[in-house]
This record gives sequence, C-alpha cells and structure tokens, in this order.
Amino acid sequence: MKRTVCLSLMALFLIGTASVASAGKFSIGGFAGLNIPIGQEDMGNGTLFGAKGRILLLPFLGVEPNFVFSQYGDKDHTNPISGETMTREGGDITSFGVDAVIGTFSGFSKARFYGILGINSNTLKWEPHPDQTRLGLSFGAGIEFLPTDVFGIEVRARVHSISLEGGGGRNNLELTAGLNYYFGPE
Amino acid sequence: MDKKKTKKRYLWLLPLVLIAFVSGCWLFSGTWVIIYMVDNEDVVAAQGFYKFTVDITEESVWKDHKDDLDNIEDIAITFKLINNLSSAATARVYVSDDGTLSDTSAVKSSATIILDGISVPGNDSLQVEMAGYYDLLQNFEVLRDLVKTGIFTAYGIVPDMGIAPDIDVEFRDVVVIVTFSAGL
Repeated sequence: MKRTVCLSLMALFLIGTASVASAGKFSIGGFAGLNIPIGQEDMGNGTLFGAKGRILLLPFLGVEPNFVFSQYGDKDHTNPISGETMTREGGDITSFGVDAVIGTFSGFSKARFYGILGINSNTLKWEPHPDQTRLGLSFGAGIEFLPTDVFGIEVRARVHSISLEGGGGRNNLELTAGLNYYFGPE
Repeated sequence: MDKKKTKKRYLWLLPLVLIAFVSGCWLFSGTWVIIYMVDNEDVVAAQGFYKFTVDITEESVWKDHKDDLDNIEDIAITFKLINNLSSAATARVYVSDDGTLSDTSAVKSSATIILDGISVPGNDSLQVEMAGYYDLLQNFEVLRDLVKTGIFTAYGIVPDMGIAPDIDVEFRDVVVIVTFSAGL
C-alpha cells in the first residue's frame, strides 16, 4: 500500500514536472545511493532512492522538483551488563522539495559541474515516536556527463539538513548516482 | 584569464554561501547517546517497590553538551525482572523527580507510569529489551522532561501482589539509553 502511494505520487510529480517544463529544455530522472547520518550516534548508514525533474531556466540555472525516500540503518549498542547487542531500529524520511542547481548547463557532450541549494518538506518516521513533518534544507554539488543528446549520467553529494520538533536537527550526507533523460528544444 | 569567465567558474559556490545565511541552527546540531548502567546494589528495595535513581549529570558527554541541549530524542530502559513467586506477576514502572516517595500509594499518586503490563511467569525471569520496552512505553513526554533535568528516579512495583516490605519480584541489570541532540 505504502509502495503504491509512493509510486503514484512519483508518477504525478513527474507528469507535473513535464507539464511545467513543456516550453523549454527539461529532464526527468531517477537516482539511488547512500544515506549517511552526520554526527548522529543513534543512526546507522542507510540507503535512498528518488526521482526528480530538471527545468533549465537559464544557461547557468535550473530548478529540480524532487522526491526522495531515505532510510537510516539500524544502530547497535552493547549492553554494558550482559555484553549483548541492543539494536535500535533506524527511521525513514519521505521528502518532497525543490533544489536550485547552479552551474554551466549550456551545450552538450561535456561534463557539467553544478552546485545545489534546496528546500524541502520531510516526514520523519521513527518508532515508537509520532511522525513529524518538518522543514529541511539541502546543499551540495554534482557532476553530470552527457554521452548523448538526451541521456545524462550524474553523481552528486548533497547534505540534507532537517529541523526537528522541540529543537535540534538531523543532518545526512546523501551520495547518489542517477540517470536523466532530456526533452525539449536546446 | 577573462574576468567574466573566472566569476562563472566559481558560480557553483553560491549555494554554499547562501545556505550559511538562510539555515537555522539545526544545521549545526549533533545527536549523542549515553548508555547509563545502574549497579544492582543501587536498585533499592523499599516499602513494596524497587527504586533506582538515574543521574546522567556526571556523564562526560552530557557535561560537554548540556549547555547546548536541543532535545531529548529518545529514552530506552532495559532491565531484568525476576519473579520469585510461584504465580505469574505483572509489574509497572513509574518515574518521578522525587526520589523520596516512601510507599506504593505515594508512588501511584505522585509519580507517572511509563511502563505497564510487564508480565513474568512464576519462578521465572524476563529480560526487557529495547523492542519490548517500546511496546510497553507510555507518557514519553513526561519521561523526556525528567531526563532533560539530568536526574530522575524510577519505581518498579507489582500492584496486584500486595508485596511489602519483602518484595518478591526483583528489578535487576538496569540500563538506561538516552539519546539527545545538542548544538555543536
């Protein structure tokens, strides 16, 4: 059920992106990779996957509506009395947002290096605590290779920082690789 | 080199500069875990209950970060329950900032219940692990507020047994795991 809802939302999001971008150069793509908690002793490394569109507004500026589902890995602690391992399950994050990408996007058949700055809405689930939907910010950098006119292969590193109810936050390093398919006129 | 080209080359740095201005303090926040062990000799049998005090104020991690404390994110308590009775027993755990409650009536009226329905068969023992603890946990917000102060007292009672003062259901091997976030 959860997977069906996620896939439906992703499809709607991609269709929406395509509609908005119908006037210019745009792409849709998917990505997957690692979710690495930064400075969080209670979470282990996890995985993530997502989808995004990229609408090129200017030769140096694009916007990327995006959907990301990421999971934390479980964290093991050692019971100091019994010596046994106590496992705390990691939570997960469902995120919808928009990233601005700033770099050199004119021309093809070359590598594009760009910076990322984004804002997003994140729903954090971590049993047994109630779900919370919180604001997040993201920044990072990526590089995209264009072997053909329509396909782009990219890798990126993005720091995803999410505020928490009651104070504090969760910072994660997202390392991903993905594929983009381009539409529209040059 | 063309000045305009040089400017363009460093354009990708702009997001990093902007984020430094618009981000909240949560960007500079970390999460730490304290694993606090209660010695069995510090789990005291009293008038119809066992009690132990958790004091994390002397933990070095807490000392280092308490002034920048953002939030207590999670608290887990694991322990062993030993039932010396021939019949099954069901225990409860209460918490309070008052470590001087003197009988079960005072505990029930003044402290806050956080765990209920911990069943252990007669002449047997039960290890309450993290997963089992979370299934039984209630009133987390009260527990969170107590932990923010760094010190609280937990009271374990078996309400249906009428046990006092020679309690026959023992609490042992208590470990408290506190997860908190604080500014860097």
